[in-house]
Amino acid sequence: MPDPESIEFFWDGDTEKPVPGPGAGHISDEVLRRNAHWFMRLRWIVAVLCSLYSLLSLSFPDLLHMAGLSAAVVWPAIIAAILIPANVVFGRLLGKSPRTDASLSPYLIVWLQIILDLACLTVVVHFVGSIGTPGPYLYLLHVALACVFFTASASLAVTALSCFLYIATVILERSGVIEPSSLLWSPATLDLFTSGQPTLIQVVSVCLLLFLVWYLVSRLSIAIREREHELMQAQERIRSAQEQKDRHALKMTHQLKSPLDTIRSGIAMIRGETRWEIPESFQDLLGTMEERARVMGELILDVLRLAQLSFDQVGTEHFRGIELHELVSRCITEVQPSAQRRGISILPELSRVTVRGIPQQLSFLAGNLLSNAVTYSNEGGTVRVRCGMEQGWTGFTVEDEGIGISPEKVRRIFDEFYRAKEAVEHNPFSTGIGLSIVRQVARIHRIRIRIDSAPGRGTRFTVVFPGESDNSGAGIS
Amino acid sequence: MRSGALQIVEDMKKIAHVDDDPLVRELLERVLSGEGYRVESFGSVSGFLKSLGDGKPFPDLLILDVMVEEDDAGLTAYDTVRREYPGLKMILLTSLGESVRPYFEPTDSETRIMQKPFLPADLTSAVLSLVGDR
Repeated sequence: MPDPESIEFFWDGDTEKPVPGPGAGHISDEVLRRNAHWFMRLRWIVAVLCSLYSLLSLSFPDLLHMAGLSAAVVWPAIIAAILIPANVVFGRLLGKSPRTDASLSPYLIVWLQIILDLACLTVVVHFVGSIGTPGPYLYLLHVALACVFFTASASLAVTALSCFLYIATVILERSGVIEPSSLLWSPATLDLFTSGQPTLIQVVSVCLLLFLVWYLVSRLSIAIREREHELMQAQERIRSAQEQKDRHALKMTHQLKSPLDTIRSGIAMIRGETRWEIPESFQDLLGTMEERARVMGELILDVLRLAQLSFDQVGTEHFRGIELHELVSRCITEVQPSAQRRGISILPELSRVTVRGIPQQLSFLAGNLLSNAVTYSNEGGTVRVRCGMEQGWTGFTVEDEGIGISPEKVRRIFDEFYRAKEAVEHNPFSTGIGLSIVRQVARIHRIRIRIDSAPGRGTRFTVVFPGESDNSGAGIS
Repeated sequence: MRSGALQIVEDMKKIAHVDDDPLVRELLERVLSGEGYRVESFGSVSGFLKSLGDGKPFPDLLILDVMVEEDDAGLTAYDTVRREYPGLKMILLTSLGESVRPYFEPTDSETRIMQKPFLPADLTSAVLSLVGDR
């Protein structure tokens, strides 16, 4: 015989260790593609501004002189002429929406965009004025955007490239390879190039500022991305836990209820096949056993429904249009057999009305109210059900002529397992959870319920859907 | 030449029933046999599917417990059977009643959901509506 196999089990208490976020390391293609569209928006803005400046220079040069600016027609037009088609091409390469597949790697496309942008920006900085004007600070826009949308290393590369291009521009201007330029119409501006110290101070200041902005904004972006990642992980854990809880509740309910169902099936078989042979006292005993098993089964199902509703995070986005009169009519059909057994008449007056909600939950609500109306009616009584729009509200009412509820007990009837003494005397076999289910459904749907009742005179439940509310009465929200 | 009795048996509507509870299998078989149907019971979905592959006569109706074997193997079995045998009529039995609907909603007219415990009259009525008289 083979030796018995030994298997060891160990359950680590902390099985849900958070997965490290992307941090400074990696950004997916999907995110890159989405982020690149921000640069395209900036490019459109720059192209429009350059075009406008060129047009203004052409049409109203004196206006610009009055504002202290020099006219410039050619270079802004050239910049706009480069940026506009570039944006169109990049847009096609990235796809019309962030979700469309592109033939080139998004990473390559983004870097092509950055290089083109910085080259055009350097030209703009040269013509706006590399010294003595706010022009060089335009690089800050690109650095800041790069920090927000790309990794720390990529944004550092953008910062370094910006500094390099700016320094190269100043050197070329200082060495006379290219003529210094300025939009500020002041000869004094160009004199700055003749003195070295202010030039050096400005270049160093701009570069230091760019690196400082890179450091602060990139660190902040990393922190925000980490928090976003943790939030997404937490949401996923919640969703997974909810799903596991639901499945567990379903399995547990099945395990608890199945034996009862088998017992009830067996009792039904015995009563059905041998009813002429079993003494009446045994028949009564079997009937009692069947009834107790039925109530136990209903309690198990009600506990499951209540658990599902209590933790339900369903929002209104899951609601759909429901023909309320049809839903109430179906619920009436389901309680008809038990009503007929006790000689209770159900009188419906159902007008066509549509509400929004979750059909299964609203069926629970209407079904419970109708079932209670029948249960707590006296034999031979009447239950009236009305549905529609009236007096400014939409909903339905269920009214019985049964045992009623005393005023001091009305506010407790929605508590789990609470049953008034009169209710227990009238019907010992009830789960005591039905109205708790009604409360949960009303909470999810923001339904108001008004109760009008008096001992011995019956009870009327008025269910009002949001939108048209009845402000009177002891309603619950 | 076939005997008349054998012919009658072969002509009877055949119902396959899958449930892991032997008492439920016995009860259902007694109810439907009493109504003149030929019932073959299986304790597992795999046993039923194997029988189809063994060349046995195709059933006219499958009665399937939703929570059979592990977890919700019945729901998985429904998808498999509906995909591979689209014409097979089915009754799904569940202890969970309406609570099972968020997890499962059959969309075809050849499938019914019934709650356990089933009243013999209700089960017979559902079988009759799907497959007709024995």
